[in-house]
Amino acid sequence: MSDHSLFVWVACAPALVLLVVEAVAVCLRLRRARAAAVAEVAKEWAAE
Amino acid sequence: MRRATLPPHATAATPPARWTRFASPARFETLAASLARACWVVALLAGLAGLYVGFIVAPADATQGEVYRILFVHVPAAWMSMLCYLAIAFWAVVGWVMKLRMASRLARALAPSGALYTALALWTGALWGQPTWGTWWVWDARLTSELILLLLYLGYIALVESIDDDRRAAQAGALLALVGALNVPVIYFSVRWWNTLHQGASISLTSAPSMAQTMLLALGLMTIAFWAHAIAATLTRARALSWEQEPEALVAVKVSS
Repeated sequence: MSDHSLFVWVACAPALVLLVVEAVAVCLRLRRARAAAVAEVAKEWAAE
Repeated sequence: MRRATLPPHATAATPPARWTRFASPARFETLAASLARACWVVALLAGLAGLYVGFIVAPADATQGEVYRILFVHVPAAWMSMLCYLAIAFWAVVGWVMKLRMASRLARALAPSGALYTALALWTGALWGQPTWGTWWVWDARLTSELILLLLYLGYIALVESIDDDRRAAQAGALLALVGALNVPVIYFSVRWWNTLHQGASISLTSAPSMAQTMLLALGLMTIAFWAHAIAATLTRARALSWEQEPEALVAVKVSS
């Protein structure tokens, strides 16, 4: 059977990149959510 | 006048069941933060080790050559696609029946990761199918039921995100997750129940694996990496949902600690 290394690259490289992208995306979402929550609550407390 | 009565073994001061104390977003936040961090590290280390063993150390397959290496991403992704859906069904029903919002939040946090693993299983499967079967896709039972799983994930995400009321969204999502979970055994047993182009399981609990030790080691490492990735991503997303939906409670906990 001929060497199908290209298929391995095309299948696995985007898959692994997507897993890393998902990891970064959820961490950024958490960071943004925390910052927004703290800012919102700080504004409420300042108003009181 | 009708009065609420307690069961004979309980008193008004009966503490809640032990495991439900993590249903508090504040307690969950503390536990999930350290657990997610550990899982990210495990996912990275196991993933790197698995890629090294699978793509560099393991020899080429006698019949398929190099292309079999797609297995090291395809199989863990396919396993996680099924497990994540079962976990969604479990947490969604727990959240619905016991009115635990953290459980419903966990179900919701699992869905995007599960959908990603399903899409990866289909993508890598198509690229494995072309050189080995001569086709990208066939409508056989395994492939079709996996595609239905992807549609169920997308349907669950769309349904839950489209309802503003959290409780109603959790109920509707739980119903869909429960019905959709029936598809998971169909995926798993499809290669036994029907005559499919997709091969049967190479690994089972009842018989010796039909692959070389190095291949098995790489597959084991990649499976651990996918498990850890799924747990870490889900916990992190659930934490983000908590911060978005209950900012006051979590900020108060952070301030007091």
